[in-house]
Amino acid sequence: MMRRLLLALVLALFVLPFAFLPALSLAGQWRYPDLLPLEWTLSHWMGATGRHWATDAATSLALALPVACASTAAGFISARFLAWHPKRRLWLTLAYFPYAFSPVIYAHCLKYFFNVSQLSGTFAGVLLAQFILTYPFAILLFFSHFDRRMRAMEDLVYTLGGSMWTAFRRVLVPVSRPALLVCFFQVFLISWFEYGLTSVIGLGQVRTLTIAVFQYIGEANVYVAALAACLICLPPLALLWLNQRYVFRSSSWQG
Amino acid sequence: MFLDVQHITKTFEGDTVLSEVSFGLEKGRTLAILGRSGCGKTTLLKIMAGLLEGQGRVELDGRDISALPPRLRGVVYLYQEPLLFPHLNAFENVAFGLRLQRLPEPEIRRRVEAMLEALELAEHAKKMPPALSGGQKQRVSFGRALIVQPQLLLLDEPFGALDVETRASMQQLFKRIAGEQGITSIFVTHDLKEAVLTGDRLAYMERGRLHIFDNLSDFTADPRTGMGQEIEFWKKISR
Amino acid sequence: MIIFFLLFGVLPLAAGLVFTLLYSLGLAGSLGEGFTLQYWHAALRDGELWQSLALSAAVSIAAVLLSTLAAFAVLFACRPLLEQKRVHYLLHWPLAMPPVVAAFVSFQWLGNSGVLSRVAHALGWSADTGDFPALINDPYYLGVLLTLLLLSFPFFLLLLLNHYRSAQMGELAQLAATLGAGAGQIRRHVAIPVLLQRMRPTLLLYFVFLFGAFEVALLLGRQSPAMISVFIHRKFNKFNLLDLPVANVATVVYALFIVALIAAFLQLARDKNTAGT
Repeated sequence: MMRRLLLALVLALFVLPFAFLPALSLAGQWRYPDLLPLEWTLSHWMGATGRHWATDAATSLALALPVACASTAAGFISARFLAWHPKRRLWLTLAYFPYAFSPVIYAHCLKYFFNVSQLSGTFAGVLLAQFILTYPFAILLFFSHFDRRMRAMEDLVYTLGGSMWTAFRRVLVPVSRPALLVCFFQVFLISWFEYGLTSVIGLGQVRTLTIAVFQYIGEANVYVAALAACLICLPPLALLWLNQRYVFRSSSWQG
Repeated sequence: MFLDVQHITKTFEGDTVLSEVSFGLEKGRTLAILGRSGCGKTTLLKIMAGLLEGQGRVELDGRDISALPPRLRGVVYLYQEPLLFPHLNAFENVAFGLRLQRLPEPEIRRRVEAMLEALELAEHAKKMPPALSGGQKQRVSFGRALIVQPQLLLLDEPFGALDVETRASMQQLFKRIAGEQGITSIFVTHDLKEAVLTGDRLAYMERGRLHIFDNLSDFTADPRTGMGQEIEFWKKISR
Repeated sequence: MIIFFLLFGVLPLAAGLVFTLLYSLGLAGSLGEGFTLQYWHAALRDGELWQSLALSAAVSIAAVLLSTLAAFAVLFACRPLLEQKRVHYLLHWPLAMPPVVAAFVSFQWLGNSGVLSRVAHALGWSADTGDFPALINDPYYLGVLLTLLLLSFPFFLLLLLNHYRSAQMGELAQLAATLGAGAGQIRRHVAIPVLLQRMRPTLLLYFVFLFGAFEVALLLGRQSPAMISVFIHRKFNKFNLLDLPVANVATVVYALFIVALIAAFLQLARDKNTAGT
């Protein structure tokens, strides 16, 4: 009984925020010390206050999709070469540093170069910065994927008369489909969740959902901030649901 | 000689893995190389297939292939595990090499079906690799290699992972198909019986050196092969 | 492809750090007036940088320790229940919550006029917002710590569950039982050491991430002392030009710290691999 109670508490803690955020986004007025809002309204969702959330969501999406595609593709191909290189250990170590570095501090390190090339404050600049941030991560994900078995399969293609291009197209990519999917979703989420680097390189002018949350908090507009937070959680929750229903086993997607 | 291997040498981090390996082999014959793990068998095969760099010269049918990339050598290397492409069914695995050659579809179909028939796999054509048994996988792997009609087939302990019965039937199958199709091959194994059964010629490899025997009695007489001991053992038992 | 990796994977950080180092030595940037160690002297003598580093270390160590403890406790208390499909699915939900959102939720729950404060009022425990203990921007960084726990605990719990399965802990426990071990002994002598050994590299890596945590510390932490990411961010963003060299020095110090930790992590990961095979 105690065990069930403990588990129920833990699960409640895990799930409650996801109920709280939509509720707050629907609240009209919620003064202290009321336990519940005085009124409920759809006005925030209708875009009645300030900028429409759809614009911020579109910016987030327009960043996350190309970043996920580019990093997954580049990471996959790079890992194939790095993992089988005689200096593989060195490459692995080098890939870990940008991965472990705090993105916001990384952004400040890069900022000078982005200023000089006039990429600061632009969409293209944030796109490039996010690629630089996620590309080593994608390499790390794929590094152990290119093991002896993959190597043997690629060699087999060569002895059967195939070129490197055929090996990639006909074997390496098709057999790596699950790993590619996992990487794509993970990078998508990193970009979708990113705040520090985006705010430093984007100078607040490239307004993604995460930037919007902070701006709304700054304006004390918690209802719209909650709305933006809901939107941020939506794709990962959808992925979880899909993951449990169709794609892969539960644990694989955390990497 | 159809296959002429001269002075193949390989050192790795100061250690000599292969030392001046030279031998020849007639067309359509099988050379069985017996050796313990770590003796350099795999390295030798990989260098011949062009998958590893090494010093020395490999000639095939009078053509020096030492500098060619693997795909232009006409040499297929088979691993201990069948290594079927997991995204393709048995038919497509066998058809793989033909598709790389962009042959017309009817020809691919005809040749693959014939190969599957020869390997007694016709009814499993549509199965994906996980649905095949160990022996079936190995046969598909064989078919995938044979169908591109390689000039030389290299087999690296191909039946090492199979159970005793499947292994015996695969040895028979290999013998039969190799004979029918006139395949030139090198068969590496650490199993004495398998070496004697599959090889037209026999060799022993130890610490990077290859010793080729002229006939079975020389092979039996050499204490390193363990053949004499084996015969003694069975003699004692049957007494 | 190696060149592409060096260009986009290695060069940006390397170039950024070299520039940062040059700046901190007076050799680059708008203040560049020739080699000087004065910024390093000033920054290293400034207590704030060290406070920030110590604070970041303390908060992240506390978060990692407490979440590991909590995860072990819940694992041992509820393991069969945790393996139920529906429960297992719900355990993944917090992974869908990024630090930005977690920080915002804590902000709404723990603040003086937040949800908990309202509940306390409704229960008659507090009369006004001022009675509720400060958990946001509080001197003990409790708000930050709780939020980081909310983020790391679910992750550790899932990790433990996975390791429990992959280490064949069920079989190991049965084996220990046939050797005469009781439930407590199995936990102490088998489960905890085996699982901890497998988790060690991840724990260290997670510590590195929490050490550089930004969003949570920015929203829920204090102005001073601030966690290192926030400290550096603020120094870079100040209009006072003299803060820039300090920010650069702090970045170099942070980078050195990360280099040491990653080296330790790779060593641990290697040990784990060699021990595992």
